[in-house]
Amino acid sequence: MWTKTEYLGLLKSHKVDILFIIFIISFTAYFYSYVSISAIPTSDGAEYLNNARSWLYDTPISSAYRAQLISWIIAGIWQITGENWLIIKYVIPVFTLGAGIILYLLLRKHKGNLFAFGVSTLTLLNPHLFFWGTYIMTESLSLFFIVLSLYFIKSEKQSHWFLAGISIGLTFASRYSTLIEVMTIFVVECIIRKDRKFATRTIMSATPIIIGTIFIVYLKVGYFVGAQPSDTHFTFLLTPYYLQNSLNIWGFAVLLVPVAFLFRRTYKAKYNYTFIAWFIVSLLFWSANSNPILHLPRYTVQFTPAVYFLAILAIENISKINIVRKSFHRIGIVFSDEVK
Amino acid sequence: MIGVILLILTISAVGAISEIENQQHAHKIFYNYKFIPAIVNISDLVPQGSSVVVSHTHSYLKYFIPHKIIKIPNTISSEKSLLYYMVKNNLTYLLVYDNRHYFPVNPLFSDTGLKNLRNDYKQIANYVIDDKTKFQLYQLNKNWRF
Repeated sequence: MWTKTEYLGLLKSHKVDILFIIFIISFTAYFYSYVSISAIPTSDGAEYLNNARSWLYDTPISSAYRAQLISWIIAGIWQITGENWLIIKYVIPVFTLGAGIILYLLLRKHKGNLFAFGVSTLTLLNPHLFFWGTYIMTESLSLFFIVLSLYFIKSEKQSHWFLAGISIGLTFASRYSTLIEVMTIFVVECIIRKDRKFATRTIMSATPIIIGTIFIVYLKVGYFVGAQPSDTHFTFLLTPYYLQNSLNIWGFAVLLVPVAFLFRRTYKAKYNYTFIAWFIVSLLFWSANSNPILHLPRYTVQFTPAVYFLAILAIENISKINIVRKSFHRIGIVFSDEVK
Repeated sequence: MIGVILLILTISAVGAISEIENQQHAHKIFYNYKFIPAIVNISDLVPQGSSVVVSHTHSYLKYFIPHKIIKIPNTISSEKSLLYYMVKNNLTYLLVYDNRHYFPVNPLFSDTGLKNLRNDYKQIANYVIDDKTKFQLYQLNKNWRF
């Protein structure tokens, strides 16, 4: 039996974790209140439902260029429950919540719980991630697998590297274009680690999943395409769309991103490189698409955690400047690490 | 640091709620409870085994209508050619899906175009979902033969 002091001590040492649990519970209630009021799936969502039906009843696939993992998940659920799109409406948004929780666990281990709290809550509160996350869309599913891949990639356990590969493969299966983002994370981590075992184990488990995904689609459809031809035109003349709309997409926190790049500390910690590369490569990739129809805020969902990581990193860096600490001392604010 | 993070979070949360509401307004069709019942009612009017010729092969129609869906070929641009196509292929039901949230109206199914259709087709259902979305089911008059 715990004493009152032990109990209070535990609460004190885990206050940010408790705050995060309270946030997740309230967020889930609010998030699902939005899920419940939607009356129809999105048109993309209806395509995934159509594809799921095709896999379930072995009929021709209506849109073969779409990533199939979401349809396999739907078909799997329907095998148990029977075909009902309302069940799927409530199941797919779970991946949005899952992404936020894994992100917290990942950053808590390496950057501290306060940092993790900032990045995870800002990510979950992003309006575009929130809105599209409430629907049967691949946005939340692929974000979940990117974050899961990152979790395993950043792990020191060798068994996790094998799981990282599986997760990379599933990221590809969930949304083909996200392979670029997850491969960026993997390549940067390979460069940082310089560990052949890490690279081999991850590649060994990722390759069969990626090839398997392509092969299953090929067997069913007779060909494999990763996107519609109209969606694959790229240009060196980058669109300023995402920069011009950055405030609308990520809110005021995005103003802190350039600040993060001004600090030497940002480049000293190798841990940050993955997030910097994830942000830059994704932004360049989506900005290089020449089709204006594809300039949409929802395509930023897959690298939104990297944006907020850099924003919180800027705050962390600012808080470590001595002059700032002294100014805060003068007005009576003491930083948590100083209390320790 | 916790104070700054909480401040940013509060500002973000307030901004997020208003942006989510904007998104909801921009996609208000997702919250329209008339949509699916209208498609289901239309499906009930078409006998089992009959095919439905549709103005657009939208994913919604493919998913919610249990009948075989046939998209009007791109070569058809007039009411006469549509009529010829349907009679020749022994097709009776035509579903006009006018959704200006997603696509511009086909001239063949504009208000004037639909008036012309009424000479050879009988309208058997008309569902107005919102100011931009309509479903109209037509049945070809039985006396048509080439």
